[in-house]
Amino acid sequence: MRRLLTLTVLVTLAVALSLWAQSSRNQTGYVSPMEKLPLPPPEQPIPYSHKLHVGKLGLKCADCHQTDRDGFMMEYPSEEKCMACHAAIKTESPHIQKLAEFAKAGKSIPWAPIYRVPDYIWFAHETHSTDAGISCEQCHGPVAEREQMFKEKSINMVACMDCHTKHKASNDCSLCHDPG
Amino acid sequence: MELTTMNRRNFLRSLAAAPMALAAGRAAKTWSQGEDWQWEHYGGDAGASRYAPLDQIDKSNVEDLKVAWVHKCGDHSVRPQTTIETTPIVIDGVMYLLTPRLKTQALDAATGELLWTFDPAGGERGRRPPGQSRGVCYWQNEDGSVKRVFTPVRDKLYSIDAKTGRLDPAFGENGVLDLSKNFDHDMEGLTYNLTSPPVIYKNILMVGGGGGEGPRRAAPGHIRGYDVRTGERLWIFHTVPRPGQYGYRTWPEDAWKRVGGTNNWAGMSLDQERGWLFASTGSPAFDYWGGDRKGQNLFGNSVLALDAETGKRHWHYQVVHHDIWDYDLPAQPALITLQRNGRPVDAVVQVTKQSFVFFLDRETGQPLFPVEEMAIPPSKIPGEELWPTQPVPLKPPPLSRVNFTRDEVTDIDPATRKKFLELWDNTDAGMIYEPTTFRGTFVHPGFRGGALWGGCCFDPERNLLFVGTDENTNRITLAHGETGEPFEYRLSERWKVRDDNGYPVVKPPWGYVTAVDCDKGDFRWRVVDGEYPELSAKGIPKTGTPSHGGSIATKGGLVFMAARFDRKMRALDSDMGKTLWEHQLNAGGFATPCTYQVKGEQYVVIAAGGGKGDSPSGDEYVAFSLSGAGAQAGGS
Repeated sequence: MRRLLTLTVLVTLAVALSLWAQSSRNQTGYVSPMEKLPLPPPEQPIPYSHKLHVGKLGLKCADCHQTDRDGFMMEYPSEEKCMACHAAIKTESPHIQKLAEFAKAGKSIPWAPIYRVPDYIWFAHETHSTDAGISCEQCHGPVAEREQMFKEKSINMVACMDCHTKHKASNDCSLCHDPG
Repeated sequence: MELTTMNRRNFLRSLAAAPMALAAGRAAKTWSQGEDWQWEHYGGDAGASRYAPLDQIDKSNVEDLKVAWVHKCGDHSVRPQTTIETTPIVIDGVMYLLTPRLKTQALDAATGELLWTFDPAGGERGRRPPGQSRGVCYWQNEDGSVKRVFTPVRDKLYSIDAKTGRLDPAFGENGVLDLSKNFDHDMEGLTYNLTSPPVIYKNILMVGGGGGEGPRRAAPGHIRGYDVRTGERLWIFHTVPRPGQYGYRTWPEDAWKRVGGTNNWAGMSLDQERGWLFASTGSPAFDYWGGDRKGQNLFGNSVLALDAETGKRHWHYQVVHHDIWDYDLPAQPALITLQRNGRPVDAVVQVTKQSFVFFLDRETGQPLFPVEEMAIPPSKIPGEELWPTQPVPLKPPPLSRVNFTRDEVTDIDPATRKKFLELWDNTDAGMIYEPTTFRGTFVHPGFRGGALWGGCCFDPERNLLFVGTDENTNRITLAHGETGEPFEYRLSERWKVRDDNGYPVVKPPWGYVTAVDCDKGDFRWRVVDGEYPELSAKGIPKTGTPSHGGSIATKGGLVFMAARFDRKMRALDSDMGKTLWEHQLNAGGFATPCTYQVKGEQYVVIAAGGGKGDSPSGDEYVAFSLSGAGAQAGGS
């Protein structure tokens, strides 16, 4: 009788776990089994701490990042913008001296991108941030807590469609792809 | 002949191995050299034969072709990626074209000088894809006092004054016709796009188009005729028939209320003498599962001959029954007059993604070469009922491989072959019309052919049809749909199968141009077209590359084509297939060229818009001529 009870409990637990797992899968919606996140942080030409600049000093994303002319790409800040503060702050740091060299030479720092949508996707940052009010953190994670940036959120097609479904936005192909 | 599944392989092999044969050509109508001739329609002529009776540029001098002018549209972007699929038209010495962001521009066709620009976005910031549009069409009234250019952009059709570039307020609503309206269908939540130019007969403007291929609901592809002056709808042909209409019984009872697709997206052609419109349609939606649309599904995947004045059907010919492979008819039907047994025959030629070419009698729709219904295996997906056979022409042979057997897995290097042999072993693969499964299926030729929207061109003097084809493979997997989804099944996987370097995963060659003898139905010649320089440098024989775009033929004995990923514009010898001239473009020429003669000089023009795959975007229209005159004018 006791063995039967134990077996019943185990079976019930197994069924419950199975249902929970199934339910979890459904809740997470479109999940690509191919994408293993988070990815390790790429090596950057100059170390930059979002935790310090955003989390501690209180800079806003838009203080440094602006969209391009058409509102698609979010751009890196110019080296001159960095030097507006760093002409006087931490000037003894070799990293800041390297930054100053880029600024003086008029060269762009070759930052390693963390998130990059494929060229054939028409993704407009401005549509999402300004028009739809999506926060930067929704796609880029808790930036203010990150000493180094790394890819921790999926931006593949299934993740996009899941978010569109959640926000009742269209999932029509031609919204993001060219109907050829 | 009923074919079993087992002998399907042998049957298709025997087709592919059919010997090439030579056939005598026959002279077409004469052309007086020196007279101007213009490319007035997307397909060259109304019937889309893509042939020009011009011979100023010929085999003897084509190597002297020079850049005459380059027009930079000025509105492309690399990220996100734009492209140009447009073939320009030329009327009264003026070229009308579309830019990467689908502005309409008018140029002096001799110099490339910009005359005007019409921007459908009206200066707004375009934060959505501009869409694709393969061209515009032109109309003028009887005395020539009213001249209009019609430009399709997504779901709108713009009527533009050909002289000024301004909208015609008499058409639609202030010059714009909303094609998603007046559709005889509940379009709530559905999208519509017109990606190929309309066709005009007398004062009737006709459009196809459609939207979406599932697994969401999709608009059907009804074909409509409008008053070219006002935009008033004159007729509609329901490509998913309604109760009482021909073909209704090839669907479940209520299908017409919910089924989409069955749309003409690749353009239509016109027999001006008969007053007949020819349209080829795509697959019903949802593309990869048809359990909710049991039956033959007319007029999906069909060549349609319609009366241009009324929209009434003269005949139809279905090329794929109950399609679940996305085998849309991908190109304009080409209306040609070929020679059979020494007699002229009005024909319709339909090229296909499957690499088959169907030659049909234009009057009756009957095949001019034998077509067999080939048995295919049944589906293993519960609820799916495939049509037991599919039509396969016995001539001409398939233009590229129709079987992706294990032996055909790429051998470009040992590691790549090993990787894709493993994938092949875990995929239902091997034969054309392999049913879709939960395990995964290779569709080969894939969704991009075989042949695609570049279609074909025809040389009436040589009685030769020229077609560019590719070797694309896709892999799709079905899964059970979730609660609330519109279909019982959905795709869990759909991808273009390429190796790590972006090469196809079948053994080379990957791109051909073929000349088909229209008398015998055999190949006159077939050549590998396109090249990956890095593979050639390794000593690998020329592989060809996939393509986007088509070819044109001229009386000068030349076939002009770009389209390949090596960014080259080429002229081939119509009789031999040998490359006689090539020019390196700044971006991929992913369009079909045009040729014309104005002010005594013959030009060949190609849009070099790049922007396919990893090929960078560009914004140029490049004109070539023998003198290079026009280059001094600087273009624009």
